[in-house]
Amino acid sequence: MLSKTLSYGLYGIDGFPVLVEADISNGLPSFDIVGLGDTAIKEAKERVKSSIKNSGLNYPTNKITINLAPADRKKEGTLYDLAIAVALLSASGQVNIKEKFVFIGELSLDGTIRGVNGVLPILISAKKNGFKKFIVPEKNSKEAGFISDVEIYTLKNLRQVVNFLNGEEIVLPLLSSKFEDVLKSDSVYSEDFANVKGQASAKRALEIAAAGGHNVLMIGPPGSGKTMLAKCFPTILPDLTFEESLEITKIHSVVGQLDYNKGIITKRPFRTPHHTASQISITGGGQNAKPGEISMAHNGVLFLDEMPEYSRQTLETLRQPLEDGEITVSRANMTVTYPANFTLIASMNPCPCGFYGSKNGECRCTPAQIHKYLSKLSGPLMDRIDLHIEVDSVNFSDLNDKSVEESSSCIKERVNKAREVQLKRFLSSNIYSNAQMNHAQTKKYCQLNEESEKLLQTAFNTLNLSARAYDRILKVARTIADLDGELCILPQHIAEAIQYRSLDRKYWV
Amino acid sequence: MYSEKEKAIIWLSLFDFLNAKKIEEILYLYNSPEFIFNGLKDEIKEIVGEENFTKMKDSLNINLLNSYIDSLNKDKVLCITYFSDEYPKKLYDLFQPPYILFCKGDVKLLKSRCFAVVGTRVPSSYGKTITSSFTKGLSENGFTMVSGLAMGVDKIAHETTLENGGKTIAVLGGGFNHIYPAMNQNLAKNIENNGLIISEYRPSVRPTAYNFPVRNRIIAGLCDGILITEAGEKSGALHTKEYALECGRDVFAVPGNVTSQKSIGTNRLLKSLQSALVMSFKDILDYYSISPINNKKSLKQLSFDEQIVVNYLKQEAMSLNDLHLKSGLEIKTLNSCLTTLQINGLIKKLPGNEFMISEQ
Repeated sequence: MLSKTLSYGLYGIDGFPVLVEADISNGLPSFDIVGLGDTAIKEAKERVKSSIKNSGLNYPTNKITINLAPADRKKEGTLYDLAIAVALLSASGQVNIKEKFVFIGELSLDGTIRGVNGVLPILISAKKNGFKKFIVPEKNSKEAGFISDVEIYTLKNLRQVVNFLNGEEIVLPLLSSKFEDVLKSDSVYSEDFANVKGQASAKRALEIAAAGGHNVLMIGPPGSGKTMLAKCFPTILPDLTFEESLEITKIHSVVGQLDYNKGIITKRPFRTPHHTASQISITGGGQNAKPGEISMAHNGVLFLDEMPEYSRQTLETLRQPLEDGEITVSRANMTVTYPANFTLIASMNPCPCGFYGSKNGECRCTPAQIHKYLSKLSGPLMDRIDLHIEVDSVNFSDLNDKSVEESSSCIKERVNKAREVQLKRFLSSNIYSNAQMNHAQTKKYCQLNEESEKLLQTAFNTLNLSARAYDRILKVARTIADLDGELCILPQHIAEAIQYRSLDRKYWV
Repeated sequence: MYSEKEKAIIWLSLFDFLNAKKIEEILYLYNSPEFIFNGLKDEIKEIVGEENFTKMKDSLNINLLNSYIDSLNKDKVLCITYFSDEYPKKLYDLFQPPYILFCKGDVKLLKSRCFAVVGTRVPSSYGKTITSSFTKGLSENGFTMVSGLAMGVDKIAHETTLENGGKTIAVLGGGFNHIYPAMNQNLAKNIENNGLIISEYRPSVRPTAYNFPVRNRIIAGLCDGILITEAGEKSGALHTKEYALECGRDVFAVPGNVTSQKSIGTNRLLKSLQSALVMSFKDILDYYSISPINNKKSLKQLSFDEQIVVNYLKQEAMSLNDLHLKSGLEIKTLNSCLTTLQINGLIKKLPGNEFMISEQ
């Protein structure tokens, strides 16, 4: 007897349909799975066999062949267990599949269906491909609940699946959950800008960065609060939209870092890889090309503390994703493109000892040492960082200050407003923030009046700005104008933007 | 093109073991330097030792001189010896004038009116600002700025002069092929094209720690006066001062904060009355009775906010956050004011997000 069921595989963060064919023929008892499965799939036969037996069903003692089609495509993981078991039961006549179901799930020896990684991306792809009915593990019900307009059944064990398919048990499809409700219940952050004393200039710069999606480099002596500022940064980022949230959840689901109880990620990710992190862990890779830190930071923040401490190679690999918003990871087994659209926040000391230009300590570095330290950051990389801010060290009187600082929610309101302006502006193009503008778009949207033009020109001549600063200044000025609610870029916007290009200027060593 | 006399000195410069003093002793043995080509006198053996004497003798036999001069010409290096017409007479004031100067660039500068700016290799931001403002003022008023192409004050002095289209001379402590520190390689090239670099050592000589104090005497000798902008307790700039006083040059120094480690040298100098206290380049021009060229741009009318910022900065240098707290201006207005003021050259940005008034 031959029987077929449907399952889904994962390729990168997208799913592809897998047809599971089971054939029972006469011969010595055996169980073979073909179709380029990995070890987890080869071992599925033991799980399937035991779970069928322990669910009170008959395990056919004939020659069994399972084929996973397309048979030339590599498959991995345990999520085909359920589909294999059902195909087998159907081939032996114990189950009658009337409709086109997609089966996803891992089996335990006692027949329980275990949760698997990547349910959300699979459902999204399958929905796009026109599949309507799904059977997924109960444990994945939260994330599955965010997919609407399809019938999803979350079942506990193999027995229940059989009963359900045979019409002996009635199971209602999963109710879809509302994203807004989850978002609301989950918008509390432990950090807040109200807790950061002083640092008005840095806060202003971060506000601009959040509003325009700009990358930021913070330079300051040790103990000046760079890390704290960076940690507060996600609290002023605009709220996630459902689409953005799905994208983030997809990646986290593939990596297996999704909280089953929540099912969806409602906060912008804040990733802080240590500076000893390998290049692969940052960009993604490994034998099966898993997403790396930069993809995990998609739609969120990648924070590189002490940036020059990272290896040169690691930093250089950030260049392409910073430009394109995605990364292509090529491995022997597969080549995948992962989204990596993150805001880069980097921090560094002004010199190896950290006290160059500081009032609180004497710098002991030679100019050659400082030069070497700074030259770790290559020009092309600096090119992609719009805002350079210098963070002063904080003195005691500031820390002890009783005055109330502005809270994150106040800043966020302004940021949201500026983002709305941008979304409207870029409605026709496929970008959504000022930082993502390319040269042509910068030219189109950042037109200067005569006065601003003149100011920028004199600034270039007198302040030794490098040529690469030009577009950056325009983009940042655009964001500042958006924050101000101005349609045109005024001279004061340009003037402020110039202040955020300190590393371009030659006074530094 | 070189006279026999000059050739004799050039030949002597081939030997690393001969310093100015030893060359003087050797020349003392001959009535005129060119006679050395007729044969080495045995007394030289006592001056340089036996081994070196044979070396000199061998070199005289195989006649290296012409190819040496050829290679110098190829590198566009001009030799000015004690006996050349181009030799700056003011160097005769030195206790031990250099017998030969290897030059690259505009040698006419040697006879122009020179002024040296020297100081610490690791200046504070105060030292940097002071150095560049003095250098700018002096070079604009016709002085050729002389310094030692080291890091810090020397570098700033050269750079500021070139930026303002002035003339500058760099006196090296090693040969032209070994610019030290290597970071200044581009600067050296730039000076070569727009000014002059000189050295007492032939191009292939590596700089040694001992050479640097020795070259300081040339800096002192070339100049009418020297200015020390910032010097710590044991700065090499104080060597230059010794030489300057020795040959009767004027020494000026800029006072610093009494708590600053980097101004101990200059402050002590002023305390001991070995140098004149100067607060602006105009003091130096006054001293030489030069009336400053007035090329002040007409000042733009400052806006209200800008005036507030300037008033606060006139009291002391301040960080952006302090300015924000004291003036009560919003960060965004403050930022744009600071940019326009910087563009107008009224204030300067220092590392650590500090701002100060650039000139009184």
